[in-house]
Amino acid sequence: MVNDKKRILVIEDNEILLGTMQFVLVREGYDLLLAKSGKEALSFVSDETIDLVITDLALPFANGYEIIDRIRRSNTNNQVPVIIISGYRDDNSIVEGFEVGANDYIKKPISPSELISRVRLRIGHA
Amino acid sequence: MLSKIEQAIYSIRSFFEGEGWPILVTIALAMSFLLWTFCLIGITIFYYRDYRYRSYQAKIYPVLRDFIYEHILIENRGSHFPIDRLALDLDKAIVQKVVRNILHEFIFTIGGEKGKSMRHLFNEMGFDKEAQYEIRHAGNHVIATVRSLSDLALMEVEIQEEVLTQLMNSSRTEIRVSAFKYLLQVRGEQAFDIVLPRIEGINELDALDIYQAIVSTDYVGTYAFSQWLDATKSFAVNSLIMDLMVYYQQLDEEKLWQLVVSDENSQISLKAINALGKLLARDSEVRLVVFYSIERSLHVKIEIIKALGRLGQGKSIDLLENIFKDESSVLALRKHAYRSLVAQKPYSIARLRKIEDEVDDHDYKLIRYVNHPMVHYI
Repeated sequence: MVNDKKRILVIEDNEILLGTMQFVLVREGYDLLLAKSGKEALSFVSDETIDLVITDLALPFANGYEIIDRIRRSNTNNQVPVIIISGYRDDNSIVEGFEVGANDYIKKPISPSELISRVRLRIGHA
Repeated sequence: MLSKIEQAIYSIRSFFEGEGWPILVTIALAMSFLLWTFCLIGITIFYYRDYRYRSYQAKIYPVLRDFIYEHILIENRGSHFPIDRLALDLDKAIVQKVVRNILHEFIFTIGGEKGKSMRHLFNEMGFDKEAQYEIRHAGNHVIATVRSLSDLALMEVEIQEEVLTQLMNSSRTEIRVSAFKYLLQVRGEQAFDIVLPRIEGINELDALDIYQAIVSTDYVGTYAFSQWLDATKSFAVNSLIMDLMVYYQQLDEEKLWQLVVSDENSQISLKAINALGKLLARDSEVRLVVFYSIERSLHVKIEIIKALGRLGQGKSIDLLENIFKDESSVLALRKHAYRSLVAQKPYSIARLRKIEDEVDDHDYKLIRYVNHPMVHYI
């Protein structure tokens, strides 16, 4: 049987936030791939088909900007929408995020209902 | 007098010629044994407490997480939480500490309506009262007070003015800085006039903490931070104010120049020159060129050259070119002069072409080094 659920790659090293996003998004019916570091995330980017990426910026091994850059240069997932979730609130970080190819930016602390709305806006209901 | 000294020398000699050495060795061994024993006891206590905290956290975290998911994320409950169902022994200090820390992390991470509900949960568990109690009895309990202020700031709970004033006047800098951060987080811009006149005595790390607290707020106004610049104050204070001026792009050339020319602290002068460059104080370009000619310190000269590069209006390209061409000059000066010339494009394009045509092998290496993409201009 083919799994037709929309698949989201969530990259976050904070266990509490990762767990909460997992709980909220799985409950909405999305299929999730979870990565706690840039390295794990990059292996998913090259091996899996993904509908949306949600990434933090400060990550071990490869930061969020590098991950987005790699996604945009990958063969399989270069068109996938990317949402940044970050504690950086300065304009430069936000602008740089959009410049490397992000589609949206959510500032921490995140509101679960806002997250769901933005995910639906990008890829629709699960 | 001499006989007394002779007697003392005699008794010392006889002590060491007799049983002296064995006694000393025995005492040294005993002390060494005691020292190692105390060290091992200290390390054991540290690891035991850490292990105890972790084991409690491993048990409590899943329970508390599921409770939050069930009641806040699914049921959308905002108050009257069935805390009894948690079945946690909240009278135990360690359990209380772990629960409080986990909840703090949740509130720090999750915002919006759900974040508010978590704040209510925190209050219903009595941690707000505990935090209020801890700050009222601050005394020398620095860690507890700092943690409580951080919790209360996160909960946006109002603290009585009287208590807050006491904390801001505390003899412990850590407590004062936490009180400042609380005020900035809770009251935002309204706290600037209370906090900024009182920050004397903070160190550079504290300054960084206060800077983060200010830039994390949603403040975008035009508050004149430069009014708190003062060469007689410490470097940390002036550095914080200048960082804020740069962050909010508020240029006050006169105030900065007062710091540049003051003899109070060379670090402050350097930072002020740096700020002039970062704030694009274009009227200062000529003044910096003049200041370069009278200044003797290498560090100040380098900072001036860097600032000229940032200002980049072509009024200083003669000076920069001369510094680069002067082979007797220090290499660091020449390197920065070339970088600043590059930064002054398009005014400096002709000069750069001329330099590239004229340079010898040694200087060509220097130019290649500066132009290399990995060596970016700071």
